[in-house]
Amino acid sequence: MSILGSLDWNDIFIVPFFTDPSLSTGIAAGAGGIVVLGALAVMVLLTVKGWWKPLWSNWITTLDHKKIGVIYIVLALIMLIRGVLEAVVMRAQQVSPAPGFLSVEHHAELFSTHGTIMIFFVAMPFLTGVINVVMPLQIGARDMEFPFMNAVSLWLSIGGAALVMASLVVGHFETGGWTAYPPYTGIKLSPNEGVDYWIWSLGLTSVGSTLSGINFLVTIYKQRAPGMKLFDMSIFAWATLCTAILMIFAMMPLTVASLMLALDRQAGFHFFTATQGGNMMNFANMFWLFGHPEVYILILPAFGVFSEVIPTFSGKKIYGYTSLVWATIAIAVLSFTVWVHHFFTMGQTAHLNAIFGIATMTIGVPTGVKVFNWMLTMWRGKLRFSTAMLFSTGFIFTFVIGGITGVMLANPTIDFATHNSLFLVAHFHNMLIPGLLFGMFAAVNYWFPLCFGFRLDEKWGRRSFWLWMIGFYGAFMPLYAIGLMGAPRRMAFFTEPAYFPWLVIAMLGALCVLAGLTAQIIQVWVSVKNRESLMVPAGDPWDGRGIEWSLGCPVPEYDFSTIPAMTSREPWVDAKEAGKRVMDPTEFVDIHLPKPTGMPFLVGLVATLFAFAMIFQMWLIAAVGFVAMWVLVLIRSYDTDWEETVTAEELREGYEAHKRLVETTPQIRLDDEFTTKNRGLIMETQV
Amino acid sequence: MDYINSDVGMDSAEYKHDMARYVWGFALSVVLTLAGVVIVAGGVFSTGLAWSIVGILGIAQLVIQFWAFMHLDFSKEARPDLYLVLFTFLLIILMAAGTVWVLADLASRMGMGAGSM
Amino acid sequence: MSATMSNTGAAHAASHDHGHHDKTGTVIFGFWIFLMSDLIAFSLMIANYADAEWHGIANGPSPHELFSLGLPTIETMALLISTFTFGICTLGMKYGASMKRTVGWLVVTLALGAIFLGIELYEFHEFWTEGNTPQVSGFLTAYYSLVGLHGLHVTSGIIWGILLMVQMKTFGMNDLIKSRLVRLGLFWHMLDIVWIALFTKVYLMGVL
Ligand code: HEM
Ligand SMILES: [Cu+2]
Repeated sequence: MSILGSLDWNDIFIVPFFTDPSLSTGIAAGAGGIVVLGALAVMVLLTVKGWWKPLWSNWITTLDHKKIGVIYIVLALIMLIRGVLEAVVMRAQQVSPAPGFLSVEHHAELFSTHGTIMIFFVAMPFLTGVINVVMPLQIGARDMEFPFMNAVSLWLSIGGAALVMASLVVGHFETGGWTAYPPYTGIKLSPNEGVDYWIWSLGLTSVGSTLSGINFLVTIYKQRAPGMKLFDMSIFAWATLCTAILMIFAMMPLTVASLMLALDRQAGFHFFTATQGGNMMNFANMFWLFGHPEVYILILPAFGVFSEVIPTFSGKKIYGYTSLVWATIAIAVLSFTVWVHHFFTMGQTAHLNAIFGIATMTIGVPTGVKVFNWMLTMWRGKLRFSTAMLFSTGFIFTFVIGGITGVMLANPTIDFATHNSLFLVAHFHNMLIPGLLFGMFAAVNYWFPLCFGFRLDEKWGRRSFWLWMIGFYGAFMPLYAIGLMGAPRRMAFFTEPAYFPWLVIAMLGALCVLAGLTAQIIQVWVSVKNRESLMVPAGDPWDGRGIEWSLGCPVPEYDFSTIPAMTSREPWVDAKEAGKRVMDPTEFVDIHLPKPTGMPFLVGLVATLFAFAMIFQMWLIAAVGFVAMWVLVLIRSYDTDWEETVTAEELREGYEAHKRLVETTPQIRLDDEFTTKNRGLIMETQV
Repeated sequence: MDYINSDVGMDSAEYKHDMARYVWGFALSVVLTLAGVVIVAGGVFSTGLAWSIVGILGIAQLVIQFWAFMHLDFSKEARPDLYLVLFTFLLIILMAAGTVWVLADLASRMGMGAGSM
Repeated sequence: MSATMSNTGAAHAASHDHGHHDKTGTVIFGFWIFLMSDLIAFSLMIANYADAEWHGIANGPSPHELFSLGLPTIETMALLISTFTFGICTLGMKYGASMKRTVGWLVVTLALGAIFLGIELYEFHEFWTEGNTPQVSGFLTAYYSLVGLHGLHVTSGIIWGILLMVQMKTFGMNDLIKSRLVRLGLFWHMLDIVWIALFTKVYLMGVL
């Protein structure tokens, strides 16, 4: 075998189109072309504008948690565009006359990449990014506990995403869905590199996520501002803590299962070969040992976001703090006890299914508690429907519907009838779109000023909300209906005429979602263009409650000029009620921030190379890549000069400047919150 | 807990005290390991009983080594580590025992006895 | 792993002005969490092994036919002694032992680790040449992967230890190096704890 392993000409994206021209291969070639041209266009832009250097020194080498968070979110948004486009193509496929314009394999590749991307390269980086930006600011820390490792996690995730993008250009992705169950994904039935793309891209990100989990947990455990007890933390920080625990323990089963699959495929092992004493059912078992906690990794941070946004825009303290915290903890622990509900139909005895069915329904209880907490927070509040608040209320409304269908599915007897149907697809989109995406959209709209100093345009934000909301109902309510009529999931086309009208509605809904996404892109564009008038330099543009709002916008690199004194659960609200416009400084001392370094980027690059070589069986290159990765880590371990100092004097100046700015910012009424009069720091109490 | 520095030297009582813990841990581990080997090799007990005894000896040694070598105990300094380990073992029981349970249940429905297939 | 985590740790350990908490302890706590996550991997492999040993013999040998207790017991003793010698090493380090003593015990530990590994590889080789490769049955796949995963850990522990000795020479016994040595120690102790489970499940119960 050559040094290039199994790679050959037919793997290059346009070649199949010439050897076998069809609409399906044409679309594949077009998608690959978009990736290549897109990458070229970005490079040309960077060169023309001379942005390579600032990109390197301000972003790629950064160890600042806020910037790392922003990069994660940008990654998530890029991948979201691909995921939604794929969804629209799938929807179009199913409304065109059977057998549609895509080959069956191509359609299978689409739902597999769509699912994989949405979970691992949209949802995970999105929530990891939001946590990175917000959590340290809410606990009064200056950075993550391990900033270098934080950047390594980032570049491993980007590497994984890059591999999925590469599969459009070189070779194929797998066709076995995001769950990739053997035996279908074994070497006999899936001989090409598709499954290996899945294994190694997930391998990179799941290591990244495990390390992120460790980082978040230790940061919360050790870096809280003095005086801040665990039960003084914001709900978002609590959600992060529970998410971190899930990340630490739940990614491992996925890593183990996927590496076992790799050994089966490449080394002839028999973990999952039934005829040789392997047990393929253990793959499903381990996958869901990961998979169910994973859905709570996805949902808990969004719950945290809503618990911050709703009180702010209701002008009230969160209702039932303690019950919310315990509900979050309960959900995190229970999430390890229900995984079997994903394979009720695999053949276990009825009593085993019954036990897991009941355990599943139990999770509904703490989740229900949360819904009531949010509603009671809004009850008799003075509600202001900003974009973030719209997404939050839209979430509550929609999520409850998804929760009800979830409790239905938790009943094994019902699950037997709906398993593998579009009813299930409707259910989990009904959870994930509000329970994940809406939460992240709310987070971006809410906390954006902390990173960039200006608000996002409200008009386009609200438009995007309504398009997403209506689009969601259009795209997924029909799937409940045809799911109950018997339509299975993962079908390239249907021949049953009764499904057709519903599929048309679903298609229109998907287009509406696409319009919502477009509205968001316009929103960012318009906001950047009008950033001067949207600036909120004094900070706290929405009369917020967390201590992150005591900082100016954008937040300086060192975050806090002095670590805030935690005198209560909401010291910033106390300060404002006492008529103050800045928090009293504690003690100015010299601090150390991590110096920028290109090392994490290099580690990620080499790891990606290693993974790519594994996919195409270039064993020599893989070995070199693997060793190189550890050599880089070793080199870094010799580097002892990794910090730069910010002096107490600079911090004091920063503080004084912020104070002057705040004092000269005119006070406005809360009603003018969304107008250009808002330069930060509106306070209801001072109208 | 300070893992890396101490105000006193190797002739101190603290050192001897800490060292005793290692020695105890080591001695007990040796005894428990050999006991397991003897029980299995001796063949005095029935298979089922030997299986249970060996399992218990293993768990005992596990606890001892966590205590002796990894410094887990009920002291205030070790508490975070202790909670972490206990939580991990809760999850291990859920995951590993759950896996065995599910797979055995599935096997029972397919007439797969020990050694068959 | 070690380096990525330790960088920041030592950075903070060096900066007392900033630290409202003990940074070496923090890094070690982070490492504990990593170990626990690793433990999950081992436990899933053991669960898989338990299933494969029961239902996955296929046309291959059963554990009863394959294993004997002699070599594994020696192997186990080697690793057990090594975890003890590592304890002597790090305990002395904490109480200000000389670099020579610390390095000496570390060398002893790693050598015992190498003996353990040697026996394991010898056994693998024996099985392999008898035709009992991992490709024969689900049970053998599970056996090689579970024991091999542990062996890979021991191997990386040995490499890490050697690299660390080089760093001791370069940096001397400062807090950074000490913290790394303690983490390697925890890693090593953890591997012996995992081995108790493997020895019991695979060999003792296998021979029964
Ligand atoms: C934005 C609007 C979205 C649309 C229109 C959409 C549409 C679809 C469609 C048509 C399928 C294939 C259904 C089938 O099996 O026939 C699918 C599957 C899937 N979607 Fe989405 N989706 C969207 C968003 C999301 C989001 C936000 C997530 C997760 C965060 C997600 C996760 C998944 C997963 C996991 C699958 C299953 C893939 C598989 O079968 O392996 N989707 N989606
Ligand atoms: Cu689930």
